[in-house]
Amino acid sequence: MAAAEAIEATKSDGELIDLVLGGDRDSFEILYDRYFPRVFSFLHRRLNNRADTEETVQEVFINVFSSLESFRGESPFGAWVLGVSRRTLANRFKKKRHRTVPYDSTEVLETVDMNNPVIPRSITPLEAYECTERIDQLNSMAAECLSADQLQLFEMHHIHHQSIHQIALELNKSEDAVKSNLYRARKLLLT
Amino acid sequence: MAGSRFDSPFSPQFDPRSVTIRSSSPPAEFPELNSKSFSFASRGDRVPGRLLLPEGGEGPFPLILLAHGASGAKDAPYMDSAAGPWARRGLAVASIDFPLHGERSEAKLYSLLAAEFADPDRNRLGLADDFVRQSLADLTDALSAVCGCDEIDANRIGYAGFSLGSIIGAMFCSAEPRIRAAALALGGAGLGGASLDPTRDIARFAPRPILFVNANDDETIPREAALALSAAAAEPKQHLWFEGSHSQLPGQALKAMYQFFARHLID
Repeated sequence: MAAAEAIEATKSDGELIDLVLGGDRDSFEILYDRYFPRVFSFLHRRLNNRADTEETVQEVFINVFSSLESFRGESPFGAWVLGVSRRTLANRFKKKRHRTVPYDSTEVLETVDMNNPVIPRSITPLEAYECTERIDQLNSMAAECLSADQLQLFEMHHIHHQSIHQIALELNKSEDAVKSNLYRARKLLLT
Repeated sequence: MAGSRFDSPFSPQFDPRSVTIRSSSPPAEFPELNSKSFSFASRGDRVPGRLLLPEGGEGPFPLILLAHGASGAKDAPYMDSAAGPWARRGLAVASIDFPLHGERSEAKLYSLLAAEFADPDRNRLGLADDFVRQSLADLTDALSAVCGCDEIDANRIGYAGFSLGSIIGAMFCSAEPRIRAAALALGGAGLGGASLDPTRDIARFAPRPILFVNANDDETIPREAALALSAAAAEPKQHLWFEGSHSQLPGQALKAMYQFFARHLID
């Protein structure tokens, strides 16, 4: 490593960022070298494919470079870079959705837009199954322990995700009454 | 900075370092196909699998994850009858042994599992529940393992299952976004107790296309059970009926399943 580069390498992230923003592209190389291993490891754990990982790493650093001005220094630079990595990865999966083959025009199935399916990955099939099991257990426990009113409140809030405000309006009760009833219901379930 | 366990777009528990893949002999009836044996670790189990690839070409090929039925195996004759012709026509076909099946056989435990599926109220040991959990994890990780192969196009994946493989498949596909089309043969609802409820979330598979295939004289899956499963799915869906029984699904049914996948996965 040349002496100048060695000196650059001792600079803090903040100093290097200032240099890059001032037009010194060589300083970005230092930041690249400094964060490449973390970004690569982060992406490879998720992509399991070296070629895809290398391609995505390049995309991440292009995004880091082009949005460097938006880094406010409120969090460590490394955490910000990993945030960019996460968003880049998410966009990559969106882009990779493949073209699908429509049904024949005579079939009703063609009306569905298969080019834009909204299929979020939030949990795995196993986690979905376990989640369903827990909801079933909770439901049966709630049915045993709670009064009809409490059960209704519990289902509205915890199963159907209605807000306290919505429930109060729907049942013509005060928000405080809904909250305290829910509190008693939860307490019963926990005992 | 460590990510949360939900950060992974695929399976948080999957360990790519556990995957082994090697060339193997193709089924005797399909000597021209390329065959690979693979295995991976899943929740403490070693899961064996087989990947059949079309002759010659390097791909990447669309992938079908093909699941066997109760007492079957990844390389059972009826699995070859489906996988062989499909691979000849351009699809890669991966299959694994479900827990207590094939290379993972355990006769005593299997008999207890079968008894629990047959009468869950009288034989409730929790084996069925664990079978479902393990199978869902195995299928998820099988996809992750196979998608690491250069020959596979990870963006064109379908699921096919027979009987129990269909029932588990309905549960699996509803929460697995990598599956783009599913063909469930000889499946039905209301069998095997609360652990096996394929109707509960199958509607979430939409808007991806799903095909149901059943036999008119199925002695294991009553017509109402088959209809209940397809009724629970949302459009786009198709339900095809063929002359045959639970153990004798005609070749036309396998051809219809291939054509379904060809429409949706082969450009």
